Amino acid sequence: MMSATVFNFFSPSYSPPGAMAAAGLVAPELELTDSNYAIQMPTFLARALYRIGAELPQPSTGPSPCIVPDYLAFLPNARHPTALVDQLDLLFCANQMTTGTRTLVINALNEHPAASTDLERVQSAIQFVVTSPDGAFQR
Amino acid sequence: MRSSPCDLSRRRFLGQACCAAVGSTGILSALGQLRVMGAIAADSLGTPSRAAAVSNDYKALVCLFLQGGSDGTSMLIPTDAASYAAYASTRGDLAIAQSGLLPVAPVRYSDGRSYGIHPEMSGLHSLFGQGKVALLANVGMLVRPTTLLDYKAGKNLPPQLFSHSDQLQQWQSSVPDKPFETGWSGRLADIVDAMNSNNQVSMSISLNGANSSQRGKSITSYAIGTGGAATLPYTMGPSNIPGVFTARSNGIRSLMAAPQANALAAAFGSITADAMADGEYLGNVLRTAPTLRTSFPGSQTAARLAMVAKLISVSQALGLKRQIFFVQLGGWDLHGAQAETWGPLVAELSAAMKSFYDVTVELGVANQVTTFTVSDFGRTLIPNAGGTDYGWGNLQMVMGGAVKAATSTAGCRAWWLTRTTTPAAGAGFPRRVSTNKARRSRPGSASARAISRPCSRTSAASQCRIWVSWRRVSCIGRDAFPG
Repeated sequence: MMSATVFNFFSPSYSPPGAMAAAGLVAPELELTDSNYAIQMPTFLARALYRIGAELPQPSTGPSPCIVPDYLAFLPNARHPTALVDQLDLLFCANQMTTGTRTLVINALNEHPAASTDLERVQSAIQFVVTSPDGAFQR
Repeated sequence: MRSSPCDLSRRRFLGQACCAAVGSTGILSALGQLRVMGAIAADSLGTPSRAAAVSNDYKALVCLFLQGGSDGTSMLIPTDAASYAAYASTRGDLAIAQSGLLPVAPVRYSDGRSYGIHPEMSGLHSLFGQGKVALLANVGMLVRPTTLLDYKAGKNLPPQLFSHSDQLQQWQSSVPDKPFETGWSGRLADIVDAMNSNNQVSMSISLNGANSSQRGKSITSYAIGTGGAATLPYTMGPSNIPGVFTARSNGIRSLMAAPQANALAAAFGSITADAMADGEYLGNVLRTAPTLRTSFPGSQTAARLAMVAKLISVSQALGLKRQIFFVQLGGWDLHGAQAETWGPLVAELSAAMKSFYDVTVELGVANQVTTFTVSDFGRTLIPNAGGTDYGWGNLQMVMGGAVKAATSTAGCRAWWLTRTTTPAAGAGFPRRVSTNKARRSRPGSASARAISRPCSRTSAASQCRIWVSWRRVSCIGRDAFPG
């Protein structure tokens, strides 16, 4: 999680400025979620998703030591956004995706041009779900 | 820094800043006035040498955090024969050879000693000679004025005196006796942000991620890397179908902007949405930044300070008249191998700081940008297994054209000698005063002293080129410097 020091990841008393601070709530895990991290983590996930970058080499033969996404299970639902989101909800959100997030992901998938490929739609759907606030939080 | 139109002392300002979040209105109305007067001052002042892009009434603070506890004892070293002999015998293998020390003028300071600066600090030494750097010796965290007897009795001490995480938070909060809530520069930003005309990009920018120092009640620090602002990779993937990237970009934007019932999800969404919007906006502005002529060394610290300079150069385009930057340099926690490791570390610090000062001259803002160092704590005078242990008071530096470095020791001596009474703890803010080093391993020994000089004169630091507590030095003189 890219801890800044060896003295633990975050302070138990961290309260993010804004609504949570105003309500007197603490959220230690958000101490690391600064504006830089907020970009770096989705970037890392997207690089894995789209297999970009030398840190994810595709071996010529044999199993890859790195993350190799297998989209086969999702491709049949590529053009059925509701069924696709149901699949991803279970895998990434423990079936607890909010109605609002579900609607937005489905809308964004429907916004894809007709010419876009099945793989592109599946990759987009996964990027939406793992990057979303619902995908980022374990409940 | 230039005197402010509303005559706020630093202590009063920061003390009130503590209360600002709960509705102190006095200082806010004073700052409203300051904002108006600042606008007038901007019209009447001359134009800086270069980069008229930076506003005349712009000001910035740059915090250089030396993480791990820097050994100030290796930065400024006594050079008169008796003091150096005592220093060398106490420091053993870690003593810096006298022949290489960079001489400091005037020859003697208020404590009657002469001093030299570490040979690897040539950049800072040269700035010190020009009066652009002030050295503040023996600065440490206090809860309240503390005597040697108090220390020996374990009374009035800051909580967790020799703990990295506690001490660095105390330095950053300046409220050592209370659980951490906000950093002092965060509180400062909460108040002075009223002077900025645009809040798109936070006035508090960190080159090293989230930190306690910049944490305010309402102002969040914005973290960037040395490459500038980062944005989400909407254009990833091999698609060449028109519209796919737009659909992805719109999808992620809408997800982050959506209201969330769960407080954690809402906070995550707003942090990410802000980071995306700020990154794109800042990236566009940074592309208009002038090319800087000042060369920076190849270190990470230099790269971070170069990005700070770039951000200052576009401050007007960002609508910011006040900025606070946070830059961290780690690696100072040297329990071993200090003799070979410390020199390159301080060389990196010194060269980066010198380049940064030079670039503020190039930008015409040398008098408007003040850089200061902070560290967890000082380190023990007596070495241990090739390194040093955790101490207390430490040497810190303040750099900038606005540093009023005296050319003689008269001011310094007069200030110390005329301090006869202990001032009331002003506005509940009795921090940042001198303490003696304490040895962690032998807290009860005669050498583990905590001598404090309460600091009520806000201008004291700026009057002295070397700010030395004579009582501390005389204390060490009897103890570690028997000569």
